[in-house]
Amino acid sequence: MHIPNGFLDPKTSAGAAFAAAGVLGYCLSKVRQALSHAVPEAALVTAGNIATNITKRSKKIVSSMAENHLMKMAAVASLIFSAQMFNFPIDNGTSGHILGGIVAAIILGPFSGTLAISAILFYQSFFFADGGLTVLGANIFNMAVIGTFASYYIYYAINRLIKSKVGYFIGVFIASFFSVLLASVFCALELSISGTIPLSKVLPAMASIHARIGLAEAFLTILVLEFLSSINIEREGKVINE
Amino acid sequence: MNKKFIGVFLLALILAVVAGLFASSKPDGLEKVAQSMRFESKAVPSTAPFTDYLVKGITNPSASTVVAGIVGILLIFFTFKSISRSRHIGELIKNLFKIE
Repeated sequence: MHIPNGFLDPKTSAGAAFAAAGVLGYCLSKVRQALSHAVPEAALVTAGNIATNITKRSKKIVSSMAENHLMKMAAVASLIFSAQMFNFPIDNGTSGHILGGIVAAIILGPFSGTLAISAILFYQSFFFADGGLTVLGANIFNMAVIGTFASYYIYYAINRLIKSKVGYFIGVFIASFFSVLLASVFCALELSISGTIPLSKVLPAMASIHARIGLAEAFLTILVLEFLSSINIEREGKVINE
Repeated sequence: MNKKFIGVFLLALILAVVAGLFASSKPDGLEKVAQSMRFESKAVPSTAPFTDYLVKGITNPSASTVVAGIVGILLIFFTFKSISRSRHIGELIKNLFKIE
């Protein structure tokens, strides 16, 4: 669903880019806050000035918890990038690939997950011409902000409602299905706002194809999360999540 | 502790090889809609070093995609890895103040 250059008009691209930038900024500040608290504060109490200097020089990312989290981001983002290359056939003449938004949001937490998917989209656009540069903001808005950040809270709400392993699976399934579907709905909205194609035509077409891709996404997301949990890569704890 | 992350990174590399060999080259959902509703021609091709996950100069399409994929994985992995390069500072603080 990577939009190429030319499909959106400048005002729609710019609007989506501003919205995406706002959410990414918020995510960045949340992650920075979560990663820079653990050690420096404790160190400051014991060490005063020396620790302050060290903290400043290291741009506040100093704890081994932070290092661990960044390694996790590196590994999971690599895996999702790779998985996105794998196009599977949906029906005669159409293919789809995993988005990975819910995998990223659950394993890394919604804030880091959104940043990881955005980084993937950035590289896809810059180095692989997968998604146009001028519509990068729209692609990040659809797949990272809607397909990752917003969709995480579908999972979160269902998980709160049904507090069991079953609730977890239902949450993952529904959230990952809707992550793809909602991203495609927003993509259709942007196409119609840009005057490329009327909404009445593009919305049913986009939604019906991506409902099928979303179903595949839901099963694959459960599979990937189960695999990651089997090698002890678990859901991110409270620090990064709230 | 970091071994499992290296494992996932290696798995990503393997998956890139599999994707290069077996991935479907059929149009994706949006491309298909654009084709059937005839607004496909509005797309402006963008230029990038590895357009369509192909490396210029490698004529075998599978091999070309595999190499492009591996480059992408390395870029992404080391982007995040490099932010965590402050490891030694973390170690220093731990040793200095006996934290953890």
